[in-house]
Amino acid sequence: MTKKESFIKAITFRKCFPVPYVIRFTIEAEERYQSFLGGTFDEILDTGSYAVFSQTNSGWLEVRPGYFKDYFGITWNKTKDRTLGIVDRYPIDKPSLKGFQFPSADDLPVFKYIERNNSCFPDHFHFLSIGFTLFERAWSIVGMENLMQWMLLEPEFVHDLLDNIVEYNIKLIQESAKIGGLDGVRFGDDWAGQNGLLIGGDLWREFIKPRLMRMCDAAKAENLYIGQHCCGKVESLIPDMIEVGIDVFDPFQPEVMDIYDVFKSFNGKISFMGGLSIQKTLPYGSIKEVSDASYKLLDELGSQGGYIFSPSHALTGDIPPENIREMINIVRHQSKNF
Amino acid sequence: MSEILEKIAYCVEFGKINQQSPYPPDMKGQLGADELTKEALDTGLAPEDILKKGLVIGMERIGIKFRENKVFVPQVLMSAKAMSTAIEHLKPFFQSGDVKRSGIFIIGTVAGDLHDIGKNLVSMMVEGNGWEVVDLGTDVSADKFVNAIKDNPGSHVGLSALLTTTMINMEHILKEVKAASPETRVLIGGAPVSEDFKNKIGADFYSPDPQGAVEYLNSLVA
Ligand code: B12
Repeated sequence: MTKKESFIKAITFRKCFPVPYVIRFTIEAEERYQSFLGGTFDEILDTGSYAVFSQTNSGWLEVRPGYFKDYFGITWNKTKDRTLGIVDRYPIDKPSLKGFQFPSADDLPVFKYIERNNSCFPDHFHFLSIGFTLFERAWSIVGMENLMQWMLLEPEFVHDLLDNIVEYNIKLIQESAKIGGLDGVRFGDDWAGQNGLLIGGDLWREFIKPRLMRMCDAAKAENLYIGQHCCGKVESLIPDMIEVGIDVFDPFQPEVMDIYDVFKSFNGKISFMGGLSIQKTLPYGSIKEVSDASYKLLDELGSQGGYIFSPSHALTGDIPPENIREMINIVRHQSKNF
Repeated sequence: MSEILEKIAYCVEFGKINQQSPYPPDMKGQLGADELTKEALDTGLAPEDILKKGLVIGMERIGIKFRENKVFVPQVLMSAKAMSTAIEHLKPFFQSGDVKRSGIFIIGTVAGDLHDIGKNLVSMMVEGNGWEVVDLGTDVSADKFVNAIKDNPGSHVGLSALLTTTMINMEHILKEVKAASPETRVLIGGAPVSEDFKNKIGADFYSPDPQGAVEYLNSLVA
């Protein structure tokens, strides 16, 4: 069975051995791990990950040292955080779209990554990964505080802004699908912090959910599976995610929800990817703790289908390389059959 | 409490900025914190009472609701906006010394960390509860904190960190702050921070939410 087939098997709730997994690194973590190993390191080949991601967060233009323009023309300062960075200046500071040009999704750098991943990793599950999908895209244009205030004060404007973003996303999905080779699309949108939803369920259902549904419909029309990435305490939205048609949810942060409980409640309706703590176990745990937590995830969740093993975020630079090596060893050499 | 002070508190709690503001929909056309504060001053109410028995009460209520996940960031932002609009009318009294703030609170997200939403909320809440806030922004070094304390004697400090990679910088900043100004209380918070971590590094206070910080700071001046 190819990695792609295993991945699909798992996210369609069928038992799959070995349990598919995905391990991703931030730049800082990758550099540290590479120097620990003392050679070159490839995130996909040397972890054995089952999925590849063609990302819209790549292929940005460096406009001056350390500053990059994304597909929406927004400049990100990557001088501090090199993986993602922060918005340098929000292009819209009044609730009006006048003068703002939304990009066309006809010709984007991500299309080349799709082709490249198709030829390098034909046997992997292949995601089009739309970073900053909707809520995040909106705040990257107007600023988080403006966006949240305008949801209450200028709802018409926010609806308009989000509609434009959705049009672009749908076109992006359709154009990407034309290239062929994709298995899924993954939306990236953080709706929650450690203690709860950022905008609450009511505003989320008013502004985000109907549009998420449209994007899911567009993806389904292209026969793509749908992943949703959302950090934070977002458990209360899982039934809505199921309703709109999300197939696999990540990163399944264990500090903000009882992942075993959540899995039990929703198994068979949505699958989960993540679960190994990057806030506790990986940075602060002993090798033994990393090993125990990894086996527990594989044994209790992986054995049932509906689960992809993964850390609860791309690995950060503070995680001891020994812990990363232990985790990779365990998932690469799964021996226990169920 | 006089009726107008209660109305002011209500406007802050529900984020009614001024008469023009469309939010909240069920208060459309009604006077907001802006007009009511001005009216209260015109009728001769003491500015100190308007602040502490009106505005602050509203802010406290929203802080509690936020802690209990009954409202979310957008609603808190509206309350903060109502509050700051009203505060504009009180500014002359702060300057003349007629109204005293409870103290000065310096806050920043620690070195290496760029997350600012939580820090901003703490800042708004503390300010809305009658404190003067000096917000140093994100990616703030120990030096900057120490200098800000020197510029604002008697102040207390809040450190925010959202990353395990930057949380460790709190320990260093705490040491430098305490070395420069032992009596300064240091409050910490942010996603990965915990009571255990607070005890480990020896900070003075930890809270998972802004209201906790407000209550602690108020207890220092009670
Ligand atoms: C939004 C977000 C971002 C935004 C930040 C935008 C901004 N302007 O702030 C962006 C996209 C830029 C971002 C970037 C990154 N992020 Co981020 N981000 C988040 C997210 C989803 C929500 C944070 C948030 O705003 N919460 C909402 C506010 C209201 O809550 P809060 O910040 O926790 O604050 C509250 C309390 O903690 C408390 N509080 C906060 N400060 C203080 C201070 C005091 C004194 C007190 C008393 C209380 C207090 O009161 C606040 C109000 O209730 C979290 C998820 C999570 N679980 O928290 C990840 C998260 C924090 N990010 C994470 C990561 C890894 C990153 C990146 C490294 C990603 C990357 N490059 O690949 C970068 C780092 C950039 C940098 N160097 O700082 C990880 C951290 C993991 C770890 N090991 O610690 C998290 C936990 C996600 C995850 N899946 O694990 N991120």
